[in-house]
Amino acid sequence: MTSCEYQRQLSAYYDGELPDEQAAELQRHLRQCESCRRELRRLEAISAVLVSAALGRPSREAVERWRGAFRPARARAILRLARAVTAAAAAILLVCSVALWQRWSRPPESFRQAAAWEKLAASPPSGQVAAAILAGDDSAEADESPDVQLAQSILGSLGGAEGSGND
Amino acid sequence: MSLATDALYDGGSDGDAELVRRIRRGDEVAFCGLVDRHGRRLYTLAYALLGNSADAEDVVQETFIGALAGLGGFRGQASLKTWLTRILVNRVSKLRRYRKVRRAMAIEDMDDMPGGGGSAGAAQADRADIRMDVAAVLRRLPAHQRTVIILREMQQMSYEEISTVLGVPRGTVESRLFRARRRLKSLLKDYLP
Repeated sequence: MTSCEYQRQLSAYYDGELPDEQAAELQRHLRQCESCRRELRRLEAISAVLVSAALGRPSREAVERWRGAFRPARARAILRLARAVTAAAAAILLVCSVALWQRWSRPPESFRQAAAWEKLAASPPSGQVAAAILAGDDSAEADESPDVQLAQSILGSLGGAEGSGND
Repeated sequence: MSLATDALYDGGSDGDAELVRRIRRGDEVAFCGLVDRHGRRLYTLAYALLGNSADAEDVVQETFIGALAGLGGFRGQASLKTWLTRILVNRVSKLRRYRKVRRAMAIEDMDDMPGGGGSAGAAQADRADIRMDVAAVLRRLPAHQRTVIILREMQQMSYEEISTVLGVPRGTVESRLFRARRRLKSLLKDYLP
């Protein structure tokens, strides 16, 4: 290996980051190469200058400000959590409300049947129709619903004594 | 790198491990301990990267706030030091994208250093000169070289730690350091044998 190639390894060797085998080989080379030894001394000098610069020292006020960051940060985190929980609860409430509204706005089948009863009670079939039904006349006009037919037959038997159909 | 940060904590330092546990439970005193343990080091790094004390203080503040926000997801494979450094480097990168960083130290920054006000002895004045020279030299490095050389020389981080902080392969760290030192050899020649 030429000196130039070894010099490229010097940076990692100086940092103690070369694999053991390569480091051992470079150590042997250093015993014979003044150029690489000089280069290694330059790396040490660069380190010394950079470390001695020790740039900057924080002010006491800055350190106190950093320490004081805890409470506002915790408060913000709690607020974010509260907002997320509130939003989730509102979404669940909205979904449930829509589902309940849809259920309540559509009457069930039994209600529709009760409405049919109410209609019949409000406007019972004529006595002739009821009589025809009671007589088993299939040509009589009648609602196909068994419940309505039953209602008609009952109303017919009840209203037949009065003798006239209602509107 | 998000701060969401897939920060990793190896629990190697019992002191840091205990601090993390207590901070997660809402212990403000533990957080102050974290600041005391890492604040100075983070500030030194930020100052070296930004060359400005006000920016450095702000970035460190943002780093601790970010650490508080991300501590819940702190899983633990790298050290707390590496994790905090990673957050800070991200913050610096973000700041650089939105602000122009001064290339030379402002005259008022001399007050940050001993002897900067002209009232100190010769030794302190020499040290102030060195700091100014070093800061100016670092400014002349490309940003990615400046970052690795500062993390290695001033923060004493290993190649593996630097790789974790920057999110680049270990080989990239090695080559950036080689190039940064090659450039520093000429920039700092007045200080070299």
